[in-house]
Parts: sequence; C-alpha cells; structure tokens
Amino acid sequence: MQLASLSQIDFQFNDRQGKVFNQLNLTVNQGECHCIDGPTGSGKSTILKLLTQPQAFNYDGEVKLAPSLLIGLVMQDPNIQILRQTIGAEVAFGLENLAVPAQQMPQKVATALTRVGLNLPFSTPISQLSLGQKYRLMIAAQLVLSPQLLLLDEPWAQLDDQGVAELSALLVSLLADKMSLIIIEHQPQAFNPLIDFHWQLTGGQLISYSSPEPVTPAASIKGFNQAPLPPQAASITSAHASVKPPQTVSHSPLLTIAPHHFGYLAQEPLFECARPLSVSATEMVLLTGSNGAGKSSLLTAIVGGNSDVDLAAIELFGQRPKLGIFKHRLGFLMQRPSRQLFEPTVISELQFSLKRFGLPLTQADTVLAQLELSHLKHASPHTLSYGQQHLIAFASIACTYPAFLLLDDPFAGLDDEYMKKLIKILIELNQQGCGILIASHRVIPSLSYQQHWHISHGQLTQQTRPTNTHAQAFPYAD
Amino acid sequence: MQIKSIKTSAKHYCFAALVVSIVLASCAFFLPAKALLGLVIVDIALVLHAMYLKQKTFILIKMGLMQLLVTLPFYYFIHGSASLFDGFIVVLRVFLAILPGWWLSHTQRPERLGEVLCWWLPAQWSFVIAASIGLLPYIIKETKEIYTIQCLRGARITPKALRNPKNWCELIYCVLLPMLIELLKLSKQMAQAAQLRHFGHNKTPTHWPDTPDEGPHINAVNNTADHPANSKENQDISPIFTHQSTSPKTTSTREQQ
Repeated sequence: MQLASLSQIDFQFNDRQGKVFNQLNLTVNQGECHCIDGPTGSGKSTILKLLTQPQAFNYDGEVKLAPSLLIGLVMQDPNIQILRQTIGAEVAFGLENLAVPAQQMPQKVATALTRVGLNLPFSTPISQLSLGQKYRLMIAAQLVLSPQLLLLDEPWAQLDDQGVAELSALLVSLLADKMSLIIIEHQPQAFNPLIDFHWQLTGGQLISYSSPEPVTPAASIKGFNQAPLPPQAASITSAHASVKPPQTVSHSPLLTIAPHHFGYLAQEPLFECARPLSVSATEMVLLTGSNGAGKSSLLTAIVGGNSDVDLAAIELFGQRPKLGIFKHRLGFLMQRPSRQLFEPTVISELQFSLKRFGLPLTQADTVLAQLELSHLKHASPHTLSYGQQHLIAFASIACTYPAFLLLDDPFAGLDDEYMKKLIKILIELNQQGCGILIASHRVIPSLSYQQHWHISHGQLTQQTRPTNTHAQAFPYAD
Repeated sequence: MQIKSIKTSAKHYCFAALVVSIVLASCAFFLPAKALLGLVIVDIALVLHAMYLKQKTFILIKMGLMQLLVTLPFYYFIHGSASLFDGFIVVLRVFLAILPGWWLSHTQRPERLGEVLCWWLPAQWSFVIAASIGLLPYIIKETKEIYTIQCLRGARITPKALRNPKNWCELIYCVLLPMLIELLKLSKQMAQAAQLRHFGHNKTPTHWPDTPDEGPHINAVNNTADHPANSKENQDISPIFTHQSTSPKTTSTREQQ
C-alpha cells in the first residue's frame, strides 16, 4: 500500500540560489524503511518538511499522501521540540490538540512511553533526561498519535552508541507493526539492518544505491572524496604545513586534572577521576562517554565557564581556570557553534578575536584558505549552510592558533566532506604544537589521538590503548 | 473522577497564583513608598515558598544586585548623592514587580498556566504565553553559554571589562544580538514542532491532567486500537491531506482525499 510519493519535484528557496530539488522522485509504501544520505545543505531535511507541510512550499510537481495518513516527524535536535516541562505533559501535547478527553490521556501516554523504553513517572522533569532519552521522548510524542509514517532527522549525531542500539530496537518493532520510516542520516551504516532502500541526495535528485557505502558521483560535489583518511596524518597536511603557530611549543602539561570527584556544588558528583590526567602540547586527547556523562560540563569547567563547579583539582597553563584570563592561548568550540556568529561577514567574524588579542589579521585569510572557504570571505555567516556555519565558527577560534583547544562534539551533523576538512586542520594544529581535547559520544574512526579518556559508570579513566588504529602513527603518551 | 478533582484543584491553585502575581506586580508600581515594606514582606514569603519547592534564588538575587549597581551610579551622576535613596526606591519597585512573575514561573507548570489563560484568551495565545514562560530557563542557559564563548573569543564583556561603560555596547553586539538570532530560530522551530503535533487544529483543546504519581511503570497498557486520530470525528480535523503545489507552473494532477 502506497503511503506517500513525491513526483517530479522541482524546488528552490529563492531566485538567487540554485535548485534544491530537480525532478526529485520518492515513493514510500507501508512497512518500508528508506534512508536518505547526502552532503550538508543538500536539502535532505527539506524532503521531510515537504512531506509534513507541503502547503508551506512553493514547488513544482506533485506530493501524494494517502487519505487519513498521519505523519510523525522527529527533528534533529530534541531540545528545540520540547514544549512542556514534564514527560507526561510533553507526550500528551498532541492528544490535547486532538481534543482527546483528559481521562483517556494517561493510558495512551503510558503506552507510548513504554514503547520507547521510558518507564518513568509522568511528572519526571524533561531537564533531567539525557539527550538520548529526550530523543526517545520526542518519538513517544509522535507514537502517541499513531502515525503510519515516521520521519527521523539525523538521529545518529544526537545519540551515543547505546542510544543508537535502543533506537534501532525500537525501529525494528515499529517496522514489524507495518509502520513506514524515512531516516535522514549521514551514517546510514548505523541503521543498515533496518533499511530497505538507500538513497543519496545529490544534484537535487535521489540516487538509489544498494551498498552501505554511498556511491556518490565525486564530480557532483565539490571537493568530495570517498576515500578514507590515510593513517599517516602528515601526508594529509603537507599542503598547508607552512603555517606556523605564533607560540613556542612547550612539552610541559597544558592541562592537569588531579584525582577528585567532579560535579556541581551541592549536587551528586557526575563522575570520579581516580587517577591524575594531563594533556601536553602536541597531544590530541579524545574524551568519550554516553549522553549525560558529564563531558560538556568538564570542558566548560576547564575553560572557567562553570562557576558552580569546584575547580580545585583542575589546572590549565599552571593556573586555576577562570573565564577570560588565558586570552588567545585557549580556544573552545561549544556544541552548536553557529550560535556564536554575530558579525556581518565571514572575514570580520574571524578577525574579531584577532583584533581583540592584537594578532595579525592575515591569520584569518590563512585559516579560510586551509578550510577551502576563501570564497565565502565576504558572505554573511547567517546565510550559510549548517556545515559552513560550523566550520566558520571553528575557524574563528582556530585562527588565533591557540596553545590548547577544546572541542565539544565538533563533528555532530557534519557530512564526510566537512568532517574531513575539520580533521585535517585539527591534525595541522596539533602538529604545530596545539594540545587538543575533543569530547564525543563515540570514537571517531578517522581521528588520530594519543590519549583516550572515557567516562563510564561514574568513572573518568584513561584507556590503556587508543581504540583507534590510526593512533599508531603518533608517539604514545606516558 | 479522582483525576478530575485533582485537575480542578490544581487549575484553581494556578489561577489563584496568577491573580496574586498580577496584583503584587501592580502593587509594586502603585503603592506609595511608605507601603513598600509590607510588599517586601509578602514577596519574601513568595521567595521562601519557591525555596521550599527547591527553586534556586541565585539568579534573582544577582539580577537585583545588577539593577542596583547599574542604576545607582546614574542617579549619582545625574541627580547627585541626595537622590540616591530615590534611585534605590526605583530599583526596589522594578525588582518587586519582577519577583511575582519569577515566583509564578518557578512554581506553576506552563501547561497549567496555559489552561488557566484559556479561560479568557484564545487557545493559541495562551499556548504562546505559557511556552514563553517555560522557555525562560532555556534562554538563561543559552545566554550564559554564548557569554562564555564570546568571553573566550576576547570580547570585552568580563565583569571587570564591563566596569567601563564603553564596553556595554560589546555585550549587546556579542551576546544579545546572537541570542536574539537564536530566539528567532528557536521560535520558528518550536512553532513547527507544535504544528507537527496538530497545534491549532482544534479551537477547544483538552488539557493534560495532573498525574503526579502515575506513569508507564504503573499503568502501561497496550491500547492503540481506539486512538482518536483513527476515529471518524477526528479525521475531520486531521491536518494531513493530499497536497499539490499552488504554483501556477504545476502541471500534475490533484488527488482528492
């Protein structure tokens, strides 16, 4: 039974931009699982919006939806979809709008929450849930309405490995119940067992492929390269290796963390750090842990951004962290870095920190060239795609050539092309003497690092060996 | 029946809290200066109540002190030291006007406020007001994070730098402007999230009852057959339909539902 179809869809946002869709076709039948991959900004999420709110678009072609079809959409970031404060009220929001009698709501809400594995009291504050739990809550908020077609926008980026496993199990049960799924995903291999149809959105069209690895026509995407990053980092970076950091490389520890219990004042500790940890110049450290483990809190504390954390055990550049005292020696890329953008042009955005720290303004051009974004120099940062904004925000920090750089989930939502660019410049900075600490839900296969810290079961520990084979290319930390 | 009685009491309690907040906030402006002491005592009771409910008062105190630190120097430079007390009274009035709203947002759930506001406002307006109140903690968190990012980027907005009024513009430029952009994006995304859950398709929506001790751990029952979305009456309000572009260039046929 056909539930939805897009036929010969042509669409563009405005006359100044090219076509997003060019004779795009897609048909979804009952019980099918479709996965759509494609570069950042290619219009994947727009397909989902077109299916849910076709009346909001001015397109050519035809959108056919089965009579009485109910579609559920879970967007990428659960935080922007939360409308209430408790899980019961959140799931019931759709029921309220359908005028379901209040007496019937608790049972329906309980059923939906059980289905996604959130066996918690209705009054549980949503603020207490991890990101993965919030994502499942958003699915419950859709399931309570019994949709026949469920659309998921990039779940992998938001979830840790356990979250992905739990979501996969849930999706299997939904497919068994003849629900149809469309998943937008840069990492389709994470959901391979579920997927009936793989699609690559390129050139405004959906191109079918059968293997887990997309068969993207390289010529159609500028700079895109399917080949994995070579293990020897030096070979990647040779093109721009002439750029030198302004500061002298020191081998004394940049960051030291003494054994302590880390957490917010007057609250239960988030985790215990039982053994001392340190990061030296030229070291790259990967910090992994599940959603809600405390990675972001630790990074924010290290830069002095958490005033309600006991910082006695943390020393950065030999000092207790305090916001603003480390000047250009410290760089920090928070999650969703596009929110830091405020200047009218890309170049002025990069030059802001250079002016404030009295550094050469030419460093902005150098970093833009390294990221192959020089053509965006005079564009407004606010008109760029998600991936471009992400890289510009990173460039605005990297252009000061900090001695120590912290990045919180820097690869979230990036496609292969942008991820490759980011990894490339990180390796360059690292080789030039910049200590780097990266927090992530999981190990990044293309990333080389010398230390691997992991938060699990309330313990922050240093893994005995990096789980990444590429790390062999680097000297091992003591 | 039990749910109904709980719901009614929670609703009426919320209504009373809303009325008290409006009255107290109004009093902060209309009462003579001599009577403000009484209002301060009443407002202290509100703060104690919020503290009893384990709400943090740090931000409230910080906000009051900031107002004082910003306003008093202005009074000193413009009107001289003799007017400092007048400046203090102005700050006190503003603070006392804000405090009941803070208490309301920290002791009442947004959905319950929305339900009460529905009594005299259209459902859509009451949702927007309730959602805005519920969004305050998120806005504060976002503002704090953007402030941290910009401080690290070298913006002259550290507490020490802000002692110089010349740097106040930088706070607006680096923190408030990006925050405004974030809020515009967020409001658009939240509106979309609400519409996807059928918001606005029923003029008289029902309301989630207060069920403090319930949850799927107690009463999960597999019950989807009688889902309202599948009932005949609700099919009339379903927003899902077969759609074709309204563009004049469209050449394809329309399929009727």
